[in-house]
Amino acid sequence: MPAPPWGRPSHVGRPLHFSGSLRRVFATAALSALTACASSADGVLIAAAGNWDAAYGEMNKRGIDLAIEQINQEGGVRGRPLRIVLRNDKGDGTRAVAIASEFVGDPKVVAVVGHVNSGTMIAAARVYDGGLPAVSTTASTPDLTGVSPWVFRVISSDSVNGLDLARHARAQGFRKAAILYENNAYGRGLAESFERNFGGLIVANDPIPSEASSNVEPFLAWIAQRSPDVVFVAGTEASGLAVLREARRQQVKAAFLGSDGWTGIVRDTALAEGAMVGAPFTAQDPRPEVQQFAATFHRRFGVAPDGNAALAYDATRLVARAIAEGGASRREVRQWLASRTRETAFPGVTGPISFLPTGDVVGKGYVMTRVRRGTLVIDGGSGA
Amino acid sequence: MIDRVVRFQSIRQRLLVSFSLLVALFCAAGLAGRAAIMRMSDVIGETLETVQQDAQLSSRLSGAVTQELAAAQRYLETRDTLARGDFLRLSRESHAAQRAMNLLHGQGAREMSLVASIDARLSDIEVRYARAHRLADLGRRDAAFAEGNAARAGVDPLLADVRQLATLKARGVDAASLKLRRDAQQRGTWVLLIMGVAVLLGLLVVFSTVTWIARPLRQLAQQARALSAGDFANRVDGDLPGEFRELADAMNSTSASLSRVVSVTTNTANDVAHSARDLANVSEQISASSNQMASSMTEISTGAESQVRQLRAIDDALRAIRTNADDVVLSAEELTALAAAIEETARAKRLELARSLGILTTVRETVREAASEVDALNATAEDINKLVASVGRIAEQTDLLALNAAIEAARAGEAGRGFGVVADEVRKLAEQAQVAADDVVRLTRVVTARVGSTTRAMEAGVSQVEEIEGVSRNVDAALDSITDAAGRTRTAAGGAAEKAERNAHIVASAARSVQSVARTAEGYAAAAQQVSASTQEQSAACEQMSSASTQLLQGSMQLRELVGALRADAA
Repeated sequence: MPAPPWGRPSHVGRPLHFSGSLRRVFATAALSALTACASSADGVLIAAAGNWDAAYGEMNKRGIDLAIEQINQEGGVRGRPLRIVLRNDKGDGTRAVAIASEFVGDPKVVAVVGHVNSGTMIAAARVYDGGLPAVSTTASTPDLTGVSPWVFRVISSDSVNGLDLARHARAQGFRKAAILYENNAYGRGLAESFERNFGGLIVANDPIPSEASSNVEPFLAWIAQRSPDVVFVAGTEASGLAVLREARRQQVKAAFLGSDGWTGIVRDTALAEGAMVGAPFTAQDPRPEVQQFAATFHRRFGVAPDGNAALAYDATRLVARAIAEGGASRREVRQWLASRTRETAFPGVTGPISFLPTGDVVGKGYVMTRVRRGTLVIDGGSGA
Repeated sequence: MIDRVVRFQSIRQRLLVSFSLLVALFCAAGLAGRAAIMRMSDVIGETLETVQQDAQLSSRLSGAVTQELAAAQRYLETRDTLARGDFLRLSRESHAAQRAMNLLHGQGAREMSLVASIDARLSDIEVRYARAHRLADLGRRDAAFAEGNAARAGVDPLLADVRQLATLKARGVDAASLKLRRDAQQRGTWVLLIMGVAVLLGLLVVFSTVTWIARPLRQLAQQARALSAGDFANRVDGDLPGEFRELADAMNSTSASLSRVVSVTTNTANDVAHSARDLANVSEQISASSNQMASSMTEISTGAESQVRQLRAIDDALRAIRTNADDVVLSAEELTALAAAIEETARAKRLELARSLGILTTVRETVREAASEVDALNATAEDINKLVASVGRIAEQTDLLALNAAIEAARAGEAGRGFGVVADEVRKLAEQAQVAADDVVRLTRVVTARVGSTTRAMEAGVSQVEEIEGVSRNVDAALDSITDAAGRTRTAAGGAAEKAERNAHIVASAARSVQSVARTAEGYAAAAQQVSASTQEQSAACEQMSSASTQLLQGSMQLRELVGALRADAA
């Protein structure tokens, strides 16, 4: 899921004030560890960064880990093992910049997988612009589009996702919609895109807090009064479950539609039943490579993979392929990534991957699903 | 410095190159300065743009936030839909401004965290206002106002953040202008530095050129002085302007050839000195040995001379001996002769006496006749007297000779003993002869007197002729003994003469030997003297040679000193 874009760290995480020297110390320590690791391993080195502390971050990390394991089982890249150095940016832009500088400063690092969040990716993009290719897993904010020729992402932009969601809503026959969005970059961007593309009547467009425990009663009371066909919630599972709980309490009749941030709501089976979720990936995808991935992932981690895991897995394998086929240098990797076309697209579990000159992935969008008894089931065509 | 990088052929070339370089440097400095100024203006432009952008965004953010909050409050109070629209629009505007600020380059961590904090606070306030608005829409005014108040409570910290951000931005502007000023100062310093370097380089060019000229001049002068001082090892080398190169080459070749000459001279002087020293040593040795030889020869000569003197003394003595011996021989011969004569005479006398006797017989008859003959007889007696006198003299002399012989015999020691006896005998015989002679004289006188008387008496006394006959017989006897004595004397004298002759022979042969020895000694002495003389001559020659070689040595030493002072390299 496109990490709660960039508002999330600002909202939730406390602002981190690193003095320059402290940051340097961090970077130096990390670098030396990195160098030691690289020299002892004598493999091809890539890096990854994300907010591993969050649930979506952990899924990202699992996807990366699985990909690395599989690649090395298959013989590594260019006859050498693929090594990865992981850094936790905690969703914080400042920290992301420091980590990005560290990666750029280590000549052994050929490419970066990440970052996970929209905000951290935007902050770090300025650093990678110096010449290190970075493939973001789930940063979906439209602000990333065209930010740097060295920055790519395997998740579709929220401008595309908002369009997908709006079209799906329209396809479901909904004409009257209410919008609730977490008041951060992710929520606002997605809400704007949905509002712009829905074309029907918007009876409410309110910002909601991102915390699970916050008070959303007035918003749903107002929505209940205005009785829309669909309520689109742009946010994460935390706020999403709060909204669903309140809606049930007030017996709101409308259908509920969520973005990829909602993929986690399935854990409250009863509450989430019937909610529509736009996901960049679903394990229900019948394609054999998806099924194989899902099975392997389940075997490895005991849970089914979600969009975060699938996108991180794809991003990692994509980078490995770029090194294997393009070359083990930063420029060669970037060149290989940029030269993907529809014909030469990388076959990922989230679909074929090729890029626009802006670094956005081509032709990908949401797979629309519906929560059925605790799982996301592909919502074929019109749900009605 | 420059000439270490580039090798210049001449002063002119050097000056041209150096000043071209200098001009190029000034041009470069000017271009660099211009480029720095251009870059500076670019930086100023960028900085101003950033600052402007920053300021615009900052004011846009603070304005939007303020207006948004005002609109939210207005909607809450009036439920004016226009105000609600403003709230939503300004909310987007605020967040857009904030996003733009985040995307700005050169944001500090403090600013970023402040923007994040503003975003967080604003989002929270927006959510509260939105909730308040919905409460108001739902007609729950109290709750709406409570929520609105709660939202307003967050406004002050938010505005404080905004103000702080403005302060930060202002400070950023200050910092930027300070940085610009510092950059300008730095660039000014750099330009000054470059100018200073250029000036220094100019001075360096001047000084190094002067040095470049002065150094070879000094070197050449030094070499000239060294040459005059005799140091030919000095060379002018290194990097020289072409103008000096030829001069230096000429001086170098002069030095080299002088050095070679001096080297050869030195070697020769050394050789000469060496030989002179050797020669002097040899001379001294020869001189020493010559002196030794001379002194030895002198000693020999002296010895020989003294030997010669001694030999001469011996020779003299021998000669004296021989002379004496000769005398003895002569005397002996004379004695012999005399003795023979005496004998002969005596014999003749006897014969005559016998005849006289015969005559006497007749005399008596013829005394008268004989009276005239008595006169003759008297004369004859006179002659006999004279003869006897001479015999006496001879005897005397023989006695003396015998004495002398005795003396010589005594001197001759053992060898002369026999001789001494003979000499004694001779002396005795001589004495006897003397006595006899004296007797003869006396007898003669008597005879004479008697003849006279006889003569006188003859007439008277022929009887007395018998007496005369008797006397004549006595005379005959006496004559006989005289003859006998004379014979013995002759014999003795003959032995003495023989012995004396033999002695004289011995002495003569001794003298000959002595003379021969002396001659030899003299020869030796002469030879020694000759040797001595020649050694002295040699020594003198050696001394001359020594002094000559000393002079030669001194000369060569002087030469060597002279050459040594020239400090030629031996090569």
